[in-house]
Amino acid sequence: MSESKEVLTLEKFHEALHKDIDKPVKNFRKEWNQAHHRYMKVHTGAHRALWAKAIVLLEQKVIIVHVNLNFKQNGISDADYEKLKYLARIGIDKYWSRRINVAGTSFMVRVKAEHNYQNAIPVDLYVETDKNNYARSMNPAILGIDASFIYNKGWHIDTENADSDFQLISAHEFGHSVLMYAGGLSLSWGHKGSTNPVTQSVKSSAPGYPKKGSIDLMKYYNQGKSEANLFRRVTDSVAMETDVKRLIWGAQIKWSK
Amino acid sequence: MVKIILRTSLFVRPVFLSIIFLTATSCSSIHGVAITNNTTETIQFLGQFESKPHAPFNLDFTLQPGANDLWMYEISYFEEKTLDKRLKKIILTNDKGCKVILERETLEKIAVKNGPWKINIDQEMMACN
Repeated sequence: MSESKEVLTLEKFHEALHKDIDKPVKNFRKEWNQAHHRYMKVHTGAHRALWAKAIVLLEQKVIIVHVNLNFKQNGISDADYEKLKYLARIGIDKYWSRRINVAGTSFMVRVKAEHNYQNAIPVDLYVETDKNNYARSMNPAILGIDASFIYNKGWHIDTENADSDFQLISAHEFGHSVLMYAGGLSLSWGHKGSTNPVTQSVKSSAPGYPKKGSIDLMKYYNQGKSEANLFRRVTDSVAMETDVKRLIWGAQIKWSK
Repeated sequence: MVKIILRTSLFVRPVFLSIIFLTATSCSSIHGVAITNNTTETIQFLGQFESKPHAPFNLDFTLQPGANDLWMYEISYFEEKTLDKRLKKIILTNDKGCKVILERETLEKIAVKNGPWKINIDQEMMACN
């Protein structure tokens, strides 16, 4: 793709990013306030997520997004806690870092997940040792309920599979916070239209896994139509460009020439 | 009064939805089928699946000697915990061109439920004459 010759300013970047994900360019909208008989400015939520900060490095064509998660130990051993924190962080970095195009300019987005106690997505870490139970991780992404990232130590055939699966799951569950912030319940719980938001059942209209190429990290696929092995899911899953733009839309932005 | 109702509904709605969400997701369980290559040859795996009303489909992947891979699927708690009911047949081909076809009936006998369903491919299974 040919790069735009125009000088990219923060304003142009901002406008293009918002348009790409169907968000208003202005960060405020006016709403009629019945009680005070006047219009009020209401923020759209853009660049206000406390847990994400983006730095746009224009010359290097790189966007660094720092995301904060508060990993809670919940009685797991110190060794498991350190391991799971590390796996979750590198999983988020791996699946959410990608190249995106904004206003005709290609940027490499590098997502860096960090453990922080404040301004962070709360995450309970667990280890499931029962070999007959594959425990389901979740992130409702609503205030007051922590996300649960579960490492299925007992169920998996070996450590390599358990580690890879946990990285993928951590990245997916983190994504629920991104989708909830940018699009609300239907986008997040509805897995971008592929599931019923409440029952979580996959819609019959959802496609099967693509035969080759990228697998959308945040979608569920109809397994009656096709299937994917773990190696392929681990290798080919990636956050879609729109979702990475949604993450940047929510993040507080710093601009650097 | 209106404010109180609005604030209450803002709090109650997500909590109510969360309860339904958690209940709904706990009504099914995740299972898997793991294939291990216990031979000294690279094996090409081809699984044939059928899930009506959809068209039959294949899943293929390569297994290096000593390697394993798996696929995962979800079933209702009320469904019988049998080997993935979509799986109809497995075709295994090794470097030497040895091709083995395992029908559903055979797979049910050799698959062992221990975490995921486990199917071990060994030299004996891949002994073509």
